[in-house]
Amino acid sequence: MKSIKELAAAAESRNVRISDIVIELQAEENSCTAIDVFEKMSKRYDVMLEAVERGVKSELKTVTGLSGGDAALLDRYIASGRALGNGLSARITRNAIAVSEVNANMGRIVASPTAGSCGIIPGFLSALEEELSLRREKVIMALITAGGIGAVIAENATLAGAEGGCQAECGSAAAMAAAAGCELLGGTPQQCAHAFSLSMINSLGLVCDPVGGYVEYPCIFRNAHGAVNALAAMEMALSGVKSIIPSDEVIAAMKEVGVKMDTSLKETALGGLAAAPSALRLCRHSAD
Amino acid sequence: MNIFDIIGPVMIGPSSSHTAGAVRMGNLTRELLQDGSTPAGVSIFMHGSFARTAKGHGTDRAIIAGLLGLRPDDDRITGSFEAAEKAGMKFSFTEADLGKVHPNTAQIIATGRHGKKLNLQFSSVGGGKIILNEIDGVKVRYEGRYPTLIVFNEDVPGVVVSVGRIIADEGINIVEMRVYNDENKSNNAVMIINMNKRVDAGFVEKCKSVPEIKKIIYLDKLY
Repeated sequence: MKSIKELAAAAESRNVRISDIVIELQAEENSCTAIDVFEKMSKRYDVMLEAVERGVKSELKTVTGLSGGDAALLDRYIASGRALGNGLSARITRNAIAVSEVNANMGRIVASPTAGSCGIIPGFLSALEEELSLRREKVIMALITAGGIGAVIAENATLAGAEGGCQAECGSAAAMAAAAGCELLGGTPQQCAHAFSLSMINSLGLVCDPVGGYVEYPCIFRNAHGAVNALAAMEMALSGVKSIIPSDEVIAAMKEVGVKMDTSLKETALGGLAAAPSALRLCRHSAD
Repeated sequence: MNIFDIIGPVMIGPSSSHTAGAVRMGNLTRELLQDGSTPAGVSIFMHGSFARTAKGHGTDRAIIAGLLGLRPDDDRITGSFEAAEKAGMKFSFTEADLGKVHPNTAQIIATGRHGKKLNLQFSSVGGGKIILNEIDGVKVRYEGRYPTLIVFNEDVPGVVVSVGRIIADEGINIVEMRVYNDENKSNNAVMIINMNKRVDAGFVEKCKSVPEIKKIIYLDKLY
């Protein structure tokens, strides 16, 4: 599929989910059955859940000392009953940070779409699954939707921070998560496309400025924000809110912004937070 | 479209270029050395971002893990230094300026169990993908997108035709072929032949019948 418009239209015309279209296309591509595709994705989701579980418990600091233990802090905060509302947003935040911390600590993760943004989709979907006692089969199909949408971004723009900044990594992950969640909660393919756009528009311009060049700060927190962004975008779309700019044009805008973004803000650790005095001081210490 | 490139790969963090790609550099070195399974010794020269952020990204541990044959999703990567010691593989890391190359570049000089030496330069270009830039001083470009033959031969006329005929007789199409001469005017040349099909060991033996060929290595697709 070349565009989200095509993907959503194909699903609507057959009265199926976006994931039903994507799974068929992927089975054709790999010369295998839809069940094979489903099983493979199911294994990936298992890896995601293992990372959530491991990260929530871990209080390990990374080798650089720049991060670690924040998912555990949130876990205790949630357990204390202080999280606002029913705690969904705190659990999404915790789970996203958990996976990103596992990544920073050289644990096993699923790049989704990249290692730097690996916490958003698992964090968001795992919290939704738990909150709403969703059937596992539906969550895996939602993940397949996320993959199909990510493939459209890769085709038409980029998923790499070095090319497009953080908007291409965490921005894409959040928008993919929003669309996936929208499908999971019964949204129409068009609503999924709107969820995608409503999420991505808030990430445009987001720079990639990792302190010391490490996938830790601000990356881990941007994963948390991306996951909560997905929640807001998904709920807007489910309520009927629409993005007047269609998703494919939003992707094109993301690409353009990425091209115009200064190289110092694209994973080179030469600008933004990476160039802040404290960042330079911390990195001097961690290099010793 | 491949959704498993998007939701995937499964890997050990923190960075696809600095960790997963680094493991693959080690894997490929091990495969190309063809002298016992695990090298006896390796000297690794780290350039640019690889030199600067190796420790925090685990790039050093990842390269060693790859040399030991671990894959990018193996959670034993973090313990690779200790595993190398057990396997009797000596290693050293040195920061180096390798010139005008990609920021994520490493040079790996490996010695096999029977004394064979191999000098390789790799770049990790994002998403865990790597490019092999140099073999024993000869500039090459292997990206791992196709089943590939790497042929080391004497730099004399006619070798391309001889190898091409063997490939054609096998009913294989060449997707892409590049020929590299040593800029230092030695007698060494390297051919990188990307093919549309996998081949077996028997085919590689057939290619060895060409007298000018010194060494031939077959590599499957990397990803």
